[in-house]
Amino acid sequence: MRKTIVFSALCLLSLLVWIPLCMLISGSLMSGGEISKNLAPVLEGKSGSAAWPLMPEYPTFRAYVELLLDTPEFFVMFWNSCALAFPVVLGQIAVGAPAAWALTRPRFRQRKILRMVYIALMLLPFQVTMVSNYLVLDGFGLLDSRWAVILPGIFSPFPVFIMMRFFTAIPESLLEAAALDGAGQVRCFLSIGLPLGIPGILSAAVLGFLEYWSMMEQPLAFFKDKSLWPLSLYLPAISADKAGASLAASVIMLLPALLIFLFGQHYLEQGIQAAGLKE
Amino acid sequence: MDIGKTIAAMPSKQRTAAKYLAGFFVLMALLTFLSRAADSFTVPLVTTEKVSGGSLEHKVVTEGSLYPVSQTAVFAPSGYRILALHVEQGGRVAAGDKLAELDVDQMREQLDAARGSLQKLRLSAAANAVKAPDEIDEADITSAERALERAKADLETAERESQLRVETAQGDVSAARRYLRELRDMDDEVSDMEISSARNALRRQEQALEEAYLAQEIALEAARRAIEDAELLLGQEKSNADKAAGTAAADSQRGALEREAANVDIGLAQRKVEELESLLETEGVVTAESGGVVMKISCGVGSLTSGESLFVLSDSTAGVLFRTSVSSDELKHIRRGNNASIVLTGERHAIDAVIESVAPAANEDGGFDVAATLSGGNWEPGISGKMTATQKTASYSICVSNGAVRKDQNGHFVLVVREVKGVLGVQTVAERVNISVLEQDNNRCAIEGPLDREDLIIISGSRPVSAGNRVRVE
Repeated sequence: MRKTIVFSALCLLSLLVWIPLCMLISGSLMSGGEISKNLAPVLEGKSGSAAWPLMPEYPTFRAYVELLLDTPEFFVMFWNSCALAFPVVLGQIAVGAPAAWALTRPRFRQRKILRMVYIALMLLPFQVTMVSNYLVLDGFGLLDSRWAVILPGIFSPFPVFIMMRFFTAIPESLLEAAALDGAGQVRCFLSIGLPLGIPGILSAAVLGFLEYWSMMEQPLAFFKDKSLWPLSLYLPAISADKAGASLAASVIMLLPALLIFLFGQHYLEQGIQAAGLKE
Repeated sequence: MDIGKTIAAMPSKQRTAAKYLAGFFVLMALLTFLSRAADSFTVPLVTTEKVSGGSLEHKVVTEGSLYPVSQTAVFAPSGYRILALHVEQGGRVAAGDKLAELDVDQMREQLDAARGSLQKLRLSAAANAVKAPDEIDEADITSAERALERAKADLETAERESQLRVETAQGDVSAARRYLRELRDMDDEVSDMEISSARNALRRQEQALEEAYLAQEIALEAARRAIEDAELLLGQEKSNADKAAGTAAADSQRGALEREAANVDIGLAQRKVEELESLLETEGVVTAESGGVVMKISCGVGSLTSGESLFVLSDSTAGVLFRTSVSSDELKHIRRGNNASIVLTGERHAIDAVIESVAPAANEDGGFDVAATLSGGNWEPGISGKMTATQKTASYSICVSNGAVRKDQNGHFVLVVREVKGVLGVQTVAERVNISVLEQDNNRCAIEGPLDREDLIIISGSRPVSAGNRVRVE
């Protein structure tokens, strides 16, 4: 009985979470006229309150057709998002995994200080480092190119921090046995660290992808050329009369993030568990 | 790491998510292609050109044909039957070539008749020459003069005779009076009877004197009338004589004119005879006096010659002119001395020509006749062709194709391709630039406006282009 009450309460709470998603999907299936009618008080400043029916009056895929077949700008921005998010994630794995290994396994004197610096950097929000980032990128002549977002992303400390937790969980005895068998640090990292750290690497990748798929500040700050803008900047730029396309674009943008999350959900859970484990 | 093994080791939920993710990206790639393709259909593909300077060329293309510079007409005397024609219109003939044949038999008959009438005219003229001119009759005047002289003599005679009678009567009266006085003086010796008788005798004598006076007056009056009559007759006779003299002069003049007319008739008849003789000498054949092309044939076999030209031949030695007609609008761009090129029917290459003359058309339709001389070559009259006359204008700094110039209620404008940075990258957009048109020819337009030499001006598009439209440049 108690369980049922708890379940019901949780269901109600989860509905609150679901409502924006339902609105998004139902809105993307509405016609332009219906959206205008419902959102007239918001979009056009008319009197009354905005209404949002759960089910569209006349469901239509017009917004999707218009977006997917008649708006090449959307695809430019979609692939821009991919061109930014995937290199960043791959770079984070390529750079972050060795860095995390180095900060976890080899014992050297300044390791703790270095880790503290990493964590301190991680805690700094983007707005704080934006100016220094901008000056550095300008100095390298990288402004208005994808590298302006990709390079700082690759060297982000957050995935290193995540992966460090996983590498820490690898038993010390296993590495010592390998060392006795003659394996060096690189061998230990490639043969033991990476296979055992896969959940950490993937959870870092998933989190990295979600972050960089929806980033807004970096492209806005570093890209003057609109042709480099990612999809996350398409949604605010869309006009009121194309609200249907905007909602459809939101749904499309949601899909890869959702699929990536589903793909990495297992590892994320493992990561969360790993963070809570003690040797 | 073996990716296959890694994927196989994944939980099924994860594998499904990975499949959907891959499918999603494949779908997006496909849709990207489709939207790009759809976009390429909707964005007009435009043809552009760069602004250039230079002068315009007003071209007038008109059709016409070659005409001889000079033409000669071939005549034959009127009234002869044409038996055969030896040329066709457009055919070429040389000097001396046979053009037509006239009926020789009919000609011989006419020659005989002409000779006869000539002879008749000559004889008639000779007969007129034989006739003497009328002489003026002087006898009547002489006779009248004589009658006048006689009348004058009669008057003198009558005067003398009547004077004599009067004088005799006066003497008788005087004698009677003396006798009476004597009687009275002898008063007692003379009886009354004698005195009375004497008085009676005196009265008779006085009566006789009065009668003598009267007779004298009558005689003199009669004589004077006779003189007046004679003078009248003489005047009449003289007037008659003058009239006769005038008539004779007029007759003489008329006779001279008649002789002259007769001579003219003789001359005409003579000429007719000579004409017939010369025609017969050539056996009635009409020949071309000079070489050329038969431009016109005005007679037919079997018809009679009318005296008008039978043939019109071009003069091959004088060359040809290309004749055409243009409208008054086209005339603005055609001037005497301008160069032109002419492509004749059947010829591949254009022939250089010079506009020789421009004149209002004879048909008064507002058009103008243009003649051009061709350089080189020996062209046959009658060949049709197309003439292109070109007139260059002054040099302009900005010239574009006519297709580039557009017009709406706000005036003339051109659409210039401008590069605009957007989401799709650098996009090309049509931008309106207002201009004013200075001059226009068949192909290009001289304009004035804020344009650079590097500006790409849109001439045409695969679909209608408006200002602000995205375009693709060919």
